[in-house]
Amino acid sequence: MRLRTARIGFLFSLPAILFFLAFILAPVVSTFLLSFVQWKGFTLSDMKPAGLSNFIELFSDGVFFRALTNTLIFVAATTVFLNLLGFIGAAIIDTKLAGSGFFKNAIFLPVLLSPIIIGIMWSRMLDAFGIVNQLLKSAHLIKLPFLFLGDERIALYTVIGATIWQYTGYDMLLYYAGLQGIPHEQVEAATIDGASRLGIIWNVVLPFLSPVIAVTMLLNMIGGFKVFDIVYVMTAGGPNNSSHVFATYLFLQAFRFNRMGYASVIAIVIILFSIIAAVFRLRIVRQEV
Amino acid sequence: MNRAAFPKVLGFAAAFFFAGFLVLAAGNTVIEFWSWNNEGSYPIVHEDAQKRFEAAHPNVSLKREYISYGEYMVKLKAVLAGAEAPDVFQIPWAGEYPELARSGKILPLTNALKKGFPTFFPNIMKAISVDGQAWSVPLDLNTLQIAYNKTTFDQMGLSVPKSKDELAALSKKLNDAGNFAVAMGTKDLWSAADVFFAQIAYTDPTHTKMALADAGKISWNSPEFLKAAQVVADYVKQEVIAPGANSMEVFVGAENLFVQQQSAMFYPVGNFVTGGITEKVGDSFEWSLFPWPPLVKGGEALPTGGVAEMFVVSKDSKNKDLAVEFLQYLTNDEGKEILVKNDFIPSSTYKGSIAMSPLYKNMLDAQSKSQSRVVYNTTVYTAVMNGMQGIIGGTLTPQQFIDSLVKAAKK
Amino acid sequence: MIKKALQTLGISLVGLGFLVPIIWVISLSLRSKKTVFTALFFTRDLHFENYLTAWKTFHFGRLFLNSAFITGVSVLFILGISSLAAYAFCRLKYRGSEFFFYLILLGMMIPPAAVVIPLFLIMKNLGLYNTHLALMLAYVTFGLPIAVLIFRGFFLSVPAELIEAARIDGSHEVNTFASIIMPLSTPAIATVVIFSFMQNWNEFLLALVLLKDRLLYTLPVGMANLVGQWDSPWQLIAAGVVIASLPIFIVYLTIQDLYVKGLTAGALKG
Repeated sequence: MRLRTARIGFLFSLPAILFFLAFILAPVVSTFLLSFVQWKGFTLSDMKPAGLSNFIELFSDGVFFRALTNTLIFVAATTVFLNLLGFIGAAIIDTKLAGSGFFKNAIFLPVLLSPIIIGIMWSRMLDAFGIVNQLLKSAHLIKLPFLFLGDERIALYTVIGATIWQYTGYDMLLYYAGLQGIPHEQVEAATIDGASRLGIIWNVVLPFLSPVIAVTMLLNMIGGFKVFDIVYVMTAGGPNNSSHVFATYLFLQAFRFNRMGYASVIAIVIILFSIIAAVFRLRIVRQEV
Repeated sequence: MNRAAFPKVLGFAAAFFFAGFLVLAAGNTVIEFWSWNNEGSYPIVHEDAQKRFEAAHPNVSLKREYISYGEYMVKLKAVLAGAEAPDVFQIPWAGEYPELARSGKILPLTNALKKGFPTFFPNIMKAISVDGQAWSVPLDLNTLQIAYNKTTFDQMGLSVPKSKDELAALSKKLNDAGNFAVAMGTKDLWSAADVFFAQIAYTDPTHTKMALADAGKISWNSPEFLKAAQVVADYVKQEVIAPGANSMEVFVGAENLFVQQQSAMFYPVGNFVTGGITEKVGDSFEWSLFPWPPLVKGGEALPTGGVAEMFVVSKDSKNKDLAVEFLQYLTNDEGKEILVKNDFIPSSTYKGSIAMSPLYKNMLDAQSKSQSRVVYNTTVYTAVMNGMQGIIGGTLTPQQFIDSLVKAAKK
Repeated sequence: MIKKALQTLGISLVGLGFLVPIIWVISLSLRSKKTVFTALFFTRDLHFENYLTAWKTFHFGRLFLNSAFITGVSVLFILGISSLAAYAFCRLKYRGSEFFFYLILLGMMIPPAAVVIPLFLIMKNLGLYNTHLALMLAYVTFGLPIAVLIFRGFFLSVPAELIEAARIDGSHEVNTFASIIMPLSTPAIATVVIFSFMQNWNEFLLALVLLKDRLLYTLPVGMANLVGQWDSPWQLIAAGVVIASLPIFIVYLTIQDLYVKGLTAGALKG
């Protein structure tokens, strides 16, 4: 009987495994192999073996390290704020006030939109002479336009802001779902015992939510390491390479510089970082993924 | 009809359609054409050539695809790698062009250009030559100049600046009056590089240094380049360049500042955008063009320019002769008529009789004096673009900018 | 009483404030070409005809059909393949099933930008370049990891006794799965539908690279083409954005309660 279920189990999971092997594993292995060659990507015949030279070059690439720090900042900032704001939003919906349904859908709507559209939308709004600057100017808060995307020091943070705006609803619904799973008796018992609102949250709600926090953080981190569309549309990594993240730098190397081999190394780095982050989180939370 | 007949009818119909499809497929050859200039007047030019070409070849149809510039190279690389490239496609004149020529994916056209094509201007033929061969067909040329609001200038008593100091002075007058000077959109990167090239036209009177540095024969750390970067940095400090350049795209933010009369000047302007500006400005003000002024008064004003649209033929094309022939239709006498009618400058001598607008005459005149704006080394070109963003944003000094070019040239 | 009313007003305003950028886009879509950059918000005259113009200019009919077809089929296949695999990974375990589960989860961490060229070459070699099938295969593959995660979490919450009872009754595994487990899993199905629909409807890079013919383009690619150059008709683009976003919003509104239930049991149990 066990053998039979095992065999059926294998068959059930076979399509998924085959898809994975053909369209994820095979390309990833290709990417891995490509990191050892020099290739412009125009024709298969002009691939030249390059040993470890791509890897060595990576270590002295200033822009790559900028992309590295930017990506880490991106992941950290988005994860922290998405979780924080998401939790607050979930708590608000949970109050079941009359406006909470509207609130829930309003916050979640941006999640459904394409990051490209979100990026274009915010770029237009934050233009040097766009609506945000016009409002700031008419409120006499600024004299010259505030360069949200044109100032190297803040371009990345502007993109982070837009991303947080887009995905707060995502985390919010995850937390809201999590809150539904908390047994009411515990909360009631604590209230009867005279615990404060914050006390209840700290001692009853959060421990129950820890698996939710773990999963949400993991999803945010993975998404953060992969991020491409919104950065590409809002800044394309500029100005002056100040807002590059892993994926945009990879794109630049592969499609502007025609350095497929070098781009592949960056791809490997992205994958490694995501895996390390996932394993790291597993160790800390000691949860089964 | 009864149930037994139905499958038979179905089979018959299928065979009929299949046969018809075969006939059509056999009879009709399709030539694929890619370009990224899907706005303005370029599609009119392409369509006109298509009509004439298809009229002469009843069994051939041309399929035009326009892919926006940002995605163009991504798609192109994918189809080139997979041997699915279009028969004829537009190619950027820097960076990718020499790499593509050397990759063996496009047809050398040196011999083809000798028959059925006009004689292209010699300096253009030089510009498109890679390793001694010509690999592309240049369609038209453009120059880059500063567009200026003549009405505002007249109102404020300003005249076309003849030197760097004059430009700085009139910019100050504009800024004091609440107007901005030169609106530029350097988020697009390419326009940032062009400001730099525009100054090199003056700092290097021999007009040879840039090509030499590009080929690796001299270092980018030469006084001519450093001076050019310094000039741009000065302009930034003197508020000649309107604020927010790095956060605006050329044809969205910067052009709008000019059209809405918030800035009296706009760069870069060439025939690729004059039509659009004319349409948007309408009657609200008069405008014309002048190049970045010389560094000292008395020098000749020199704009930069070069090839605008340029097309190559894929080596994997199944219809190479037809593809080359289509390019003949684009560049022959009728093709030139249509180009001139739409304010484009053909890449060979135009002997027709279309009356030229003053704007067109201005650009034609500029073309005869234009200096190069090409750096073929992609890494260096990118470093120029990014570095210029840094200069414009005030985060790089000219020396740091030059150092980044030297570093890029080493790769 | 007043406190509750004020609180309701408060959160409604916050919600509205959050939507201001989107309302701004809608206002953009109703402006004329002249005022598209000068106006602040809504102009006095509202040009609803922009929507019709956008529909025709972007050939929305075709784009919509393509996106709907590709997304619809991919989502269906994702549902089928991931639910089967998830069930196997938690209830029909075999030697190596844990390994395969983690392997598939790894798929979540692969950025599409990293594998787009090798993927293109694979499709080319399979003769699938420039077909909707290539895109569907890619979308199914990239949608599997999160779908498997959600289904597995949900299945774990189905009491094991239910399955045991069915087995004792002599029910074949496939039958158990189809007639007992799946009907119970509507929340998980809803969640997976929303996730996959969202991911595939808006996907851009793979669609750009794997499709050559304009007639095959999906919505994101079709619209990107209009934004690139000068003279982009921003009021039409805004209208296009609104039209393109409606389907997914309608899907969400229809099954939003199930979506939350599915998250509860599915994604959060890990």
